[in-house]
Amino acid sequence: MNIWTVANQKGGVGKTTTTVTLGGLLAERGYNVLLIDTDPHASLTYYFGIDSEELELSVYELFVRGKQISREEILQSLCPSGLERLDILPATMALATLDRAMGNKSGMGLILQKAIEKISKDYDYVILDCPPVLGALMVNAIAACQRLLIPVQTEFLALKGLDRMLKTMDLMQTSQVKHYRYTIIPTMYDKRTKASLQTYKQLMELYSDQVWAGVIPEDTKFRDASLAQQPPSVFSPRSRGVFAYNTLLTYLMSEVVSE
Amino acid sequence: MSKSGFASEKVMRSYLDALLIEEDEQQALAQPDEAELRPVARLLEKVNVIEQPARAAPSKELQAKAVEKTKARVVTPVAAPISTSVVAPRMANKIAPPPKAVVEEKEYRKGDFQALFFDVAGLMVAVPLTELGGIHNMGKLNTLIGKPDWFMGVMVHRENKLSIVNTAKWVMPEKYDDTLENNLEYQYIIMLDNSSWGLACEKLVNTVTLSQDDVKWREHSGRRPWLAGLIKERMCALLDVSALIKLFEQGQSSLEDMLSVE
Ligand SMILES: Nc1ncnc2c1ncn2[C@@H]1O[C@H](COP(=O)(O)OP(=O)(O)OP(=O)(O)O)[C@@H](O)[C@H]1O
Ligand SMILES: [Mg+2]
Repeated sequence: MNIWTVANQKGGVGKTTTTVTLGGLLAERGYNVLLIDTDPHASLTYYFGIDSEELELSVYELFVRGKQISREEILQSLCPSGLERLDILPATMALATLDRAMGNKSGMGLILQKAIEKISKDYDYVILDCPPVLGALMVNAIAACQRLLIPVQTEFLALKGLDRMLKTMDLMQTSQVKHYRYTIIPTMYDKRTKASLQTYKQLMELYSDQVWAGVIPEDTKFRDASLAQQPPSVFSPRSRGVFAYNTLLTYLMSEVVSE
Repeated sequence: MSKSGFASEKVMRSYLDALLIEEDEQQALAQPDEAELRPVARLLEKVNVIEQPARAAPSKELQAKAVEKTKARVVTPVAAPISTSVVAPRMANKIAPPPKAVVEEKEYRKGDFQALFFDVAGLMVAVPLTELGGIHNMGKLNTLIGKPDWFMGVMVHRENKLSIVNTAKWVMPEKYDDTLENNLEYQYIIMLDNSSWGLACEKLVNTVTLSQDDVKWREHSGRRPWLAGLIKERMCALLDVSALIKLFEQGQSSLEDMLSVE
């Protein structure tokens, strides 16, 4: 099983869009995919038309039950995405209370990792979507992954957010004695704007090896797809944006093979 | 790479270590030679790690107050019961019953607890981690008219509006003058519990594990109900977050008595 986490402490950079689009494309390529929503705002969950406040089970119960949760219970918490081979582990607002509950308990950052281990035979790919907040949820999601995907909006000030994100990752590596692979994904790239061009150039200069050399273009189809509650790969398979994510996926997967 | 201060890095380290290192592992790390390799894990156990003493301790008269037990008052949402039947193999999601509310003693009165120390105009203040709603970087504030002078403004985080309190002005209005104001450099916002209230702070100092005995606990009925107690070692205020939220919501200053915190 491959586990990817999409994270950036900065909000609105395309984390959820990246999760949904890559998930849709992987399922289309024939893999069994699970998307996990760890954001109390549950935008990934809503993306698939799931009203998480109506659910009996969500990723929240998984945190509450902790280590005792069984494979069957985890599988029971899943929701169908409407797309074949693509399932969702939904989030609820209650997740927002976890930071306080977990703040002083040791090892609470590893709950998600342990839960995912229990379903390691059930999926080929697990992609986790994070809230844009440094807290126990993001720490859990990052701790669980083998590879971190960091969407960075190509605009001014984006680098500052990225710097913070990498700092957090660095500190986590020390705590966990683990080395993360990470890939920076330039998003919402608009070649007509100076901000996009300059930020992309700076990203390349500062983090060259870690930056995917392509870009995800600014594409209104993403917003339309989310309004239609369909993965972009279904809603507009031939759009520029989906094409770019497909290229990214091929890159990420070729790296999986060579690992 | 980052210019973030050493102190705040330490806070982050102990926070992450607490989350990512399991209890047994942490104990193992406390062995002398192991600890050499992982000095960070030890930070959690030490109470005396703060190198920078508070310049102004909160009012002395508080020390004289008797220590009494806090009453049970925190209402915490509890998870809806989880069905344990494994009849349906997958996706058994149904409509959930509404969560039950249970009256509980404050989490940090039950034993050892962690507190985050932060610094405002030389005053060190601590907040129990269980009552910490999060830490944000200070961003753009929109000021509102008709608000108390200690209300700095509203910061929008995603679609939420956070109400930011000028902590120095609220806690020590008597000392708040132009010189103090000009020297203030608010960098972070300490969010209170699940509320939309946040305290502006200058520096994050550290996260420390405290025992019940490390704190001189306060009875709430008197003045300054927002003080849960004093941390003896460094005479630093431990905030009573729920009382603080209530005061803010009532638009009260720190000096006014509050009729009822309940
Ligand atoms: N490449 C793109 N071009 C145009 N719009 C995009 C692109 N990627 C994402 N968007 C839109 O930008 C908005 C924010 O994207 P998204 O929700 O994926 O970000 P996020 O990082 O998950 O946000 P949050 O931090 O709030 O969780 C959405 O409306 C989405 O449809
Ligand atoms: Mg999102």
